[in-house]
Amino acid sequence: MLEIRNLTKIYKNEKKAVDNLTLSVADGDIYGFIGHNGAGKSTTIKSVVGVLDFDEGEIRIDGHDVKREPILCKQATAYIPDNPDLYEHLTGIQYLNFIADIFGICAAEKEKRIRDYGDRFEITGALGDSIGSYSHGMRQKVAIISALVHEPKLLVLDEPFVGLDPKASLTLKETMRELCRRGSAIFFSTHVLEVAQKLCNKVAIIRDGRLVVDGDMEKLVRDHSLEELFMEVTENE
Amino acid sequence: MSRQFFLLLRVQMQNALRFSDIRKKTGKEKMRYLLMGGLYLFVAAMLLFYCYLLAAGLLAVGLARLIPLYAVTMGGLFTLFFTFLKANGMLFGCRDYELLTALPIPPAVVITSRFAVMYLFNLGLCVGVMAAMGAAYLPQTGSVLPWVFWIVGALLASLIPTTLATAAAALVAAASSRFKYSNAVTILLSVALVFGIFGLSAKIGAMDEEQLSVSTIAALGDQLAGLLTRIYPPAAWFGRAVIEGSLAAFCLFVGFSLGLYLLFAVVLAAFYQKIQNGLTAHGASGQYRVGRLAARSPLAALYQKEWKRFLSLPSYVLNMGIGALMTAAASAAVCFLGPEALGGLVNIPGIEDVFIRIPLYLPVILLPLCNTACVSLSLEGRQLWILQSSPVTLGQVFLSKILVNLTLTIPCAGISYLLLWVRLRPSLADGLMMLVLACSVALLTAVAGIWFNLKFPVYQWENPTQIIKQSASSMCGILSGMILGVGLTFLSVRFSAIPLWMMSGMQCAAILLLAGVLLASLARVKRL
Repeated sequence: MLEIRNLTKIYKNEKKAVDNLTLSVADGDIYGFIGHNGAGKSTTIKSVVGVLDFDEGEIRIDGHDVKREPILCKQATAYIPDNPDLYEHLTGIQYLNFIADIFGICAAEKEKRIRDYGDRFEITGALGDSIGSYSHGMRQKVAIISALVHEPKLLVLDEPFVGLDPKASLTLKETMRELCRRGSAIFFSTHVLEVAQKLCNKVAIIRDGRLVVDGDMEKLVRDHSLEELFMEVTENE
Repeated sequence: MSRQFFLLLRVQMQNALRFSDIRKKTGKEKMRYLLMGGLYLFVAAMLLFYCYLLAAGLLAVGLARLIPLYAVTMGGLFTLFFTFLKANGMLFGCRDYELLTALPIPPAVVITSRFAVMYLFNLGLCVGVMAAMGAAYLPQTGSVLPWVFWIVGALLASLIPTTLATAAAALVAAASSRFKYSNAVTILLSVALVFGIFGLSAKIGAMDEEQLSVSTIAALGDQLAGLLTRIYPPAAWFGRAVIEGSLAAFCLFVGFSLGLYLLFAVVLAAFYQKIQNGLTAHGASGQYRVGRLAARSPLAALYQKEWKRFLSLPSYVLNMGIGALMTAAASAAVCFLGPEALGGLVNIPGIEDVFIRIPLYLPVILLPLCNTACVSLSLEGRQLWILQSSPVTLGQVFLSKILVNLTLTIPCAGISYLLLWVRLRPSLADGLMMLVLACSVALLTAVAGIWFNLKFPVYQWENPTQIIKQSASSMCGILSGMILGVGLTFLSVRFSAIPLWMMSGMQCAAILLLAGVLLASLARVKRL
C-alpha cells in the first residue's frame, strides 16, 4: 500500500532531515514509526501525505507516485497531524461535511459514517458547536473522524493518541484494528512504546533521519521489550 | 511593569516586522521584497509630495496659518481611518490572549503594548505628513520655537486619533460581545463608523471646494480654520502654539494627547478581560444530532468554507470587503445627489464630457479595493495542511477563493451601474461596456490577489489582522488595485475624444488579457 524508496529530505539550512529512508507498508499492516524528537518522523509522514516536497527518492501509495499522481494518492489516504489545527470558523459538523464533500462521499453514506463515528468517539452532541470552542482532545476526535469518514486505504497518523482521553484512545485502537481487518494499512508515529508494541505488527525506528531498525514486531521483541530495543539502537548508534 | 511592557512590545514588533524581514530571503524572493519596498517608497514619496504642494499652495495664497491645522488634521484623519480598521483585531483577536492572561501581566500592560505597536506604525505616516508640510511652512517662520513645537507635535499627532480609533473599536467590541452573533454585530457597527469617518472627511473636502469660489481669501481662511477647529479642536491648539508661539496651547495639546490615552488605558483595562471573554465565549449546547447532510462538489465545499472564513473575521470584512460597500455607497450618492456630489471638477475645460465619464468610472476605481483573494492563502495559516493533504487541485483551491471575491464585487458592479444609469443615462453601449469593464477589473483584481499572495505567502502568524493589514500581499493587492482603477480612469479622461464604449472596450480587452496571463501563471503552480 505504501512504498517509500530512498527518501531524502534536505531543509533550507542544509540539514538532512530524512536520509535515504526505505520502508514498505502492506495492506492490513499497522506500522509503528518511532524515534526521538527531531529524528525525522514528522518530515517522513508529511512527505508521504503531500504536505512537504522531498529532494530524492520515491513514494508510492496504492501503486501511484505521490509526485506524479498526487490527487490519486491523496484520494486513497487520510492524514492526522500531530497538532489538530482545524478550521476554527466552522462547527464540527461543518468541518466533517466539508472533508466528506472533498472526498466525494455521497449524502447518505456521509450521514451514516459521521453519526457512527461521532457516537463511537462520544462527540456527536458537540458537533454543532464551533471548533474554536473545542478542547485539544475534542479537536483530535474530530480530526480522527474526518480521517475515517472516507474509509481510506492508507491512514497516516502523527502522534494520534496525544490529547485523547483513555476511552477515546481505546476506541481509536479498536477502530485501527477494524480498519486493517478490512484491508487498509496504517502508518503512524508514536512515543508511547507500550501502545506501539501491543498495536503494531510492524515497526521502524528512525534516528537522525536514518532508518536503524525495521521489521516484524513479533520478531523484534522476542527477546526484549520495544522500549529496551529502542534504547539500545538509539544509544548505541 | 515597564520591563514587561518593553518585552511584549519587542515580541509584537518582531512579529509584525518579520513579514518585511528580507534578511532570511534568498535570490528571487529577496528581489521581490526589494521591488515591493521600492513601490512603497514611491507611493509614500507621492503622498509626501502632495502634502508639500498643498502646504506650498496655501503659503502662496497667503493662508500660511492654515498649514499647521491642516498638517495635524490630515495626519489625524488618515490615522483615524486606518487604525479603526485594524484596532479591533489588534486588541481582541489575538491567539496569545490565554497565554498572556495566565502570566502575571496586568491588562493595562497588554493593552499599552498592543496600542504602542499601532502608535509606532501610525507614527511614520504622521511624521511624514508633518515633515512634508513643515518643509514648506517652517523655513518662513524665522524662529526656533515653531520648529521645536512642530517636531514634538509630529511625534504626538497620531496619539489622539489612535486613541479615538482604538476606543471606538473597543466600544464596538464591548457592544458586540453581548450578542450571540458578535462577529455580525462587530461588522455592522464598524461599517457604520467607517462611513461616519468618510462623511467627516467629505465634509472638510466639500467646504474646501465650496469656498474656492469666494473671492475674499482672508474670509476663506477664517472659515476653513473655524471648520477644522470645530471638527478637531487639538488642531487649533497646535496651530496657536506654532503660529503664536503659545506655550500654554502647546501644553494643552500635549496634555490632552497623553491624558486621553491614559484615561482610555485605565478604562479599557477595567473591562478588557470581560470584553475578551464575551467575544471568545462560545455557547456549547451539546445537543447536536446528525440530520440531513447534502452532498456538494469539492469546489462548492471549498467555496463555502472560504465564504464562512470571510464572514468570521470582522477585520477581513472591514479591510478587504469595504471596497464593495464604498462602490455601492458612492454610486448611490451619485444617483441621489447627482454627480456634483463628487465635486472638485469645476473650472476644467471640456467638463461636460469629463463629468459624465468620471462618475461612470467610480466602480472601476473603487471595486479593486475589494480584494479578499490577496490574503486568502496566507489566512489558511496553520490549517494549510488540510488543503495540502486533500485530493483537490490547486486550481480548485484558487478558484474557490477567486469566486468569493467575485461574489462581493460582481453583484456590486451590477447594482452600481443600475444606480448610475438611473441618474446619468449613458447610452446602452456605453453603460454595458462600462459594466463589462468593471466585471473584468473585478476578475483581474481577484486573480492578481491570488498571484500576489503566492509571491508573498505568510502561513505562520498569531493574529489574522497582521496578515490582513500589514502583509506584503495585502499591500500589493490593494495598491495595484488603486493604481489600476485610477490609471484606467485617467486614460479615459485623457483620451476623451475616443467614444466611451470604444475606450472601455479596449481597456476591457487589455484587462482580460492580463488576467489570462496571470491565470496561466497560476496554472503552473505545483504546490502551496
